[in-house]
Amino acid sequence: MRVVLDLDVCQGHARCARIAPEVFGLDDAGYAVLLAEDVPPGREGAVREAAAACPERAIEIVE
Amino acid sequence: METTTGRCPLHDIHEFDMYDPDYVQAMYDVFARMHEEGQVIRAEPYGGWWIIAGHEAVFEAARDYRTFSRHTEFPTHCSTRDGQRLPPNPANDIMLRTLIAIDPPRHKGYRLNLNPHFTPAVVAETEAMIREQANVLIDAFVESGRCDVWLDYAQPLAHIVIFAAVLNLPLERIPELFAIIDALPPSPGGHSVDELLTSMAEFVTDFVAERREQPPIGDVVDTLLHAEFNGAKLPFEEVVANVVLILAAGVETTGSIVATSLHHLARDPELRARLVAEPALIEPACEEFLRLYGSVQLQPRTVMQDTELAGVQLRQGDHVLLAYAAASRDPRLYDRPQEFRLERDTSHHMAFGLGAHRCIGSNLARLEFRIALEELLARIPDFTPVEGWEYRRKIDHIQGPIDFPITFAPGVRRALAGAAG
Repeated sequence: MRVVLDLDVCQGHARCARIAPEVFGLDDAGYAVLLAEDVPPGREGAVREAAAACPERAIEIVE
Repeated sequence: METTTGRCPLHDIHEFDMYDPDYVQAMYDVFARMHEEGQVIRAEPYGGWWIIAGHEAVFEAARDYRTFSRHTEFPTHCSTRDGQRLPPNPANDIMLRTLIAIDPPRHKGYRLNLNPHFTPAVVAETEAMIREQANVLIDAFVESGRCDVWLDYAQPLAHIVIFAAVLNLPLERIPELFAIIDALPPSPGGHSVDELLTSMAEFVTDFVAERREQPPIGDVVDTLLHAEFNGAKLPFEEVVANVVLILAAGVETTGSIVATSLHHLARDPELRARLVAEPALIEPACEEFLRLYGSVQLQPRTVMQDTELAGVQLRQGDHVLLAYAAASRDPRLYDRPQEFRLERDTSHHMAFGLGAHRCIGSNLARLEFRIALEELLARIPDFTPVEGWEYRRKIDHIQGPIDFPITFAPGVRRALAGAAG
């Protein structure tokens, strides 16, 4: 499972970093950064939840 | 301003007027009627506005800044109720040069400078201070067995957080602010954000002028005073206006959701007992409260080019209100949207807006909101509205109560509790 983040769409709601902090961090201005493009085993559920929870729909999951 | 048109809000949704008390007090029922009719509703007052009520339509419009510009104002700022254009007002014009009314791409320059003051990590540093101040406020009324949740707790806490934690006004100067608010003439519809800010204008201007003379401490005021925004420093009047914007966006909004949620809990003892027993549930409960009672109900936009939204033709120059509060209760997305459900997926509520102008302070607001509930419920787990009192909303685009008096079993102040232990 891979994650693609659309930084033109991200507005820094910070929900992803709250839900799946192993995969999503925040930069100094609070916008999302990918900590790992490939999702660590066992964290798929949290990453799916983070993607679904993004208010801007900026997170895409590639299976 | 408590004038009503005598119209029936539920029958005349096309006469929707966000300043008419009849509509304001029935706002959520009016939104429900709008949902029955469609996503984009025409409202005739103030020269004609489109109310965007559907979740999908708000999602589309809020993110499309090229078509839906935020460089605009609320209806009463531009027009009389019968549609006469108002002459320009300098107090409104200066707000058009603040963060909230500047569209991308220039907007991004503002956010890159200001966002760093509002990240989760930065606002987390204020947690201990917010918790302490919440308890100082509770100490002042806990022994008496009665208080006004809005006037004695939610509203002052919200002022303290923004003025002391964000703007670094020394805590000992907070009473000066409350003196200004207390000196306002009584208003039957509650004091609007505009009224409150006008009363504080001189205080805020003097405060920013003092800060300009002091060594920088690296907070948001210093960024506004000293940083370059898209290649140039801000003139002093724009620094002040942006500080006023932070107040407008951060004080009544957060205070209102605290008070409204505690009002909900006063009527739902089962939920209240659950949150008291399991404080970890307060965080998800806050999100469902935000969905139900998000403070910023409506935000204006101007249509920049002809477009179609949810099947409705909009023309260049049309006025639009994004009804975030309606979108968060859209039955197309939420089953029985008027009900509080702790287990609900709340991630797409629109309490903080969406797109480039989403609330810059949402991380701080969430923190303050959660702490305010945690501390009050920990010390006053059971409370009842004063008999005969009824919930009345302020006549404003912020949803919140005019007052909220409660009674409860008296508790003890912290210092005394500590001495006894």
